[in-house]
Amino acid sequence: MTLAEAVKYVAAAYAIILIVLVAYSMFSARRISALQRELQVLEEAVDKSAKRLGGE
Amino acid sequence: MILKRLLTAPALFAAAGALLAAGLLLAFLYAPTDSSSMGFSQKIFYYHAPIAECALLAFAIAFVAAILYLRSDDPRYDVLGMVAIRLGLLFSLLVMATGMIWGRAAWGVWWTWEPRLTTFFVVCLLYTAYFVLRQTVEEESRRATFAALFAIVAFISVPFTFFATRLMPSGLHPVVIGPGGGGMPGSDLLAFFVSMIGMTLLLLAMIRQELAVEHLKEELHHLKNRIGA
Amino acid sequence: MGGRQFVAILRKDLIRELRTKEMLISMFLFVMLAMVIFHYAFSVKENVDLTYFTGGMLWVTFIFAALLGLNRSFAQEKDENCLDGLLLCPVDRVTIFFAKMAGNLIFLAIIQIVAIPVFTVFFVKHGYFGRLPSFLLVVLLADLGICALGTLLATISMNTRARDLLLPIIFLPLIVPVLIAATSATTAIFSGDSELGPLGARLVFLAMFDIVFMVAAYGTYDFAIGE
Repeated sequence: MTLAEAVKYVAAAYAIILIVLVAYSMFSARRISALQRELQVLEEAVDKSAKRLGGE
Repeated sequence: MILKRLLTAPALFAAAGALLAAGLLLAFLYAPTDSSSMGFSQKIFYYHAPIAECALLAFAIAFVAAILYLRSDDPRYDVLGMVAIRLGLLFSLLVMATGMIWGRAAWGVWWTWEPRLTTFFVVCLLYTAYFVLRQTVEEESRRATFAALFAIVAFISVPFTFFATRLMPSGLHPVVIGPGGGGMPGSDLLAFFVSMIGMTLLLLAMIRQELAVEHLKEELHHLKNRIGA
Repeated sequence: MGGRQFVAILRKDLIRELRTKEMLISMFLFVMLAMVIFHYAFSVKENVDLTYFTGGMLWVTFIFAALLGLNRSFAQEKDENCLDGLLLCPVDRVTIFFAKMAGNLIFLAIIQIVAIPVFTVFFVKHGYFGRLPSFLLVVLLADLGICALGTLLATISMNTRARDLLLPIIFLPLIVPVLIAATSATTAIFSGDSELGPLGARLVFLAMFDIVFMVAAYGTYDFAIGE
């Protein structure tokens, strides 16, 4: 195998590492924001209905 | 163990990223290169080895978490264990991928039954079984107990598997993927250590992030139960 | 006190199986059929010498036979609710473990006593009578590891939804070290090839595996069987 080909393999290895780890972390971060939003929406809904019940 | 803060730890990610980038630069610009293809492909080692050590570290964290769960019944240890094993499995798959690419570049073969590759292959199968086990138990505390038992036994078996693969008659493993020719000079070592610390910080950051995900999922679950949704 | 309970549980398991012999017969048939299949799987050309395959063939067969036995013995317990009855008695959980492990060990040994001579006649070209004591030691040590780990894991898997389907998945990756050591030791003994490395290292390895996992099972069996 020539040096040039070896360079391609090395580049591929590092690329895979970076892509996988970065992608995984990004998906997790996105998951966190989505969950936080959903939590917020639900909590507001619960507050609203609690206030309504309290008022009656 | 106190549950980590809810927010992700951007500081950890940033530090990890910086160190990993530094390690990469050191590996390619500072450490000496043997200009043969075999020598150049050794560069993969600077990330490959830290990833391998982080995978094992993740499984060790799960091992400790499992013991702590069995002693305290605190479900947060179960979550930590599961998260650690999930990340350990991810890192193990990366070890195999990079190990195979390295083998192809340096020795011309995609696979060899040498101790490290073989051990990590078994490790991947082993910890996949962990998730299969979790899936088959519905009741939460029993699931956590069984998962903890398996995490303990699995981690103990890893060194045995590794040494067993070296027990096989010599001559069966002509190709040994090692860190380049005989010992590591100082400049090699620096690049390696920097990458090692960076990768470890990355693992910790990812664990923190995953714990936050699981915590949020749990809160959401409870809230929905309260509403009766 | 523990000793008497141990004997009582062991006797119960042995008597129950010896009455119908279903499990033993299944294991026996499996082992014999496996040998036939191995012959046709490997002897593609005339006069092929399978000497260096003998260790692998033997231990693959024994490990899958052990899985059969483990699944069967625990499935019966579960179906007939024997285990619940047992747990109601003031028995030390660990005693249950060692009694069950001993039972599994005995059943595996019974199969092996029959299978090994047959295997020798079928596949082993060189005599190994002089090395018989070492061979028996290898078998004993490997069996201990298989039964200790197998009993612990079978207890866990029987209490899941997948029951006997799960056992191979969690057992096989963990038993790889035993398989490797036992296989290479057995091939070394059957072939008499001294180039295959020192037997001692493998025996020590198997012994350490057994000790470590028996201690691990001892420490955790309460959780595996508990309720």
